[in-house]
Amino acid sequence: MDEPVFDWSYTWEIAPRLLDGLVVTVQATVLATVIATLLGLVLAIGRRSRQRIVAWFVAVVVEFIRSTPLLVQLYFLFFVLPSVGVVLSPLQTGAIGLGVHYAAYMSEVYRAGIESVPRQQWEGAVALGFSRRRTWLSIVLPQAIPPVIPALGNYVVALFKETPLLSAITVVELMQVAQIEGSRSFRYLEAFTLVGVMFLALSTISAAGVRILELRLARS
Amino acid sequence: MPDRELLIRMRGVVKRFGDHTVLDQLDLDVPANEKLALIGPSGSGKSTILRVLMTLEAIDAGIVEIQGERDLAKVRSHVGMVFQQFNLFPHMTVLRNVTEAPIHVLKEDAAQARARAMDLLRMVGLEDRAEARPAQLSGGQQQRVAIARALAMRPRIMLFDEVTSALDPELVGEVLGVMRRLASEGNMTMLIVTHQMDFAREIADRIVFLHEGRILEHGPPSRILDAPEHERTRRFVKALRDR
Repeated sequence: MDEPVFDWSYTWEIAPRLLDGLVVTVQATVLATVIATLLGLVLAIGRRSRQRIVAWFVAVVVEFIRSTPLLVQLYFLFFVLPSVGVVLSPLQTGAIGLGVHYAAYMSEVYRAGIESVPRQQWEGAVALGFSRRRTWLSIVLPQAIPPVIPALGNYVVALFKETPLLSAITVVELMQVAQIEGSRSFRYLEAFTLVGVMFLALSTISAAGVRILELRLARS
Repeated sequence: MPDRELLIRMRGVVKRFGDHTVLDQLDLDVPANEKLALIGPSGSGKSTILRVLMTLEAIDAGIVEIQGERDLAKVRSHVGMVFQQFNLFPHMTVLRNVTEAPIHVLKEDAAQARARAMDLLRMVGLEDRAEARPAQLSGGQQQRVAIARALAMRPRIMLFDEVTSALDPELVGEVLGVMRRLASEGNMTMLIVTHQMDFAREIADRIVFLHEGRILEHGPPSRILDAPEHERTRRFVKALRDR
């Protein structure tokens, strides 16, 4: 009997295992997003530090992260962290690598937002006796962040699509599961088709989420 | 001057922007409660004096003291400033613009700060716009909010930096009206950079004429505006009057 080109019954058989992989992918995405959005903000604020050395150091770190491949950074963390006594799961290591990498990019987005706040706003804050910290919290960040949320959202979607790289450091995420299934049955079409469909579905949903956020911001 | 407390003391103050000397060995004393108008051509250093007092500019040489304190950051909360461009916080309501500093800097109780803010908004005639955003107000209204916001910090000194220059002519009066009331209440020291000579004459105890970063002459409004000693002052006053 000829094998069908696309075997539906095999597809249904592997789908649950791929969904398990998808859960890992989503976990990595969420963790990395939290790291990227928070660390990115810290880096952006650090670049505005009045301590020249701090601002310079942050600029160098951001430039370094952005100029080296994510895969190299992931390998580096995966092999170097344990040797300095930091033992994390592959998923944690991967999420940190992904998060730090995207924090560098997001810090540039935040920076654009911060620079869009006019100098007069800082001066208004000085005239009212605000501390530097209070100026960031009350005046600058509430004006700097809303306009850049769409750009940040686009990086979240991009970050999500880079999670297959984590398979290189043994994270059993969606892509890794598909490879395992393929090598087991020598059928790759169904597994990778499912991977594509799942990524498409989640990307579409999160892109729609970003757009809704954008619209709500535009209205307020 | 009678022996009133000397609130502001500037000696030999120099401020340069690149090659340009904006304040050139400037001396200025301001006793408590004085209403001082600073006039002079653009670039003469009037606004820079206010910006130095507000710690928005660092000086290159000289001494500046407020209430005898040379570290101006320490006495910053005794000084309020109103800007040409209002500098209201656009993401906050009018009310929060006024309460934010008392709550976070003076650590006032929120309900108390709101009550006082409403009193101040009433004083500037805007209590019914408390929940509006700055962008929904006219320039004159925004500037009145900015005055209320500065007053909420209970400053002893108020600095007004060309506060009507960005306003449409028909909105100037409402802002000057608020300043007039403030001046009449007495226990406020006011430094006013202005091109409104009639207003300066009416409100100021003393007018300082600045030229190229120095005080060319100073004295009561009648003398500076009607019988200036220097030709430069005479020309400036005449030019503004003929405008």
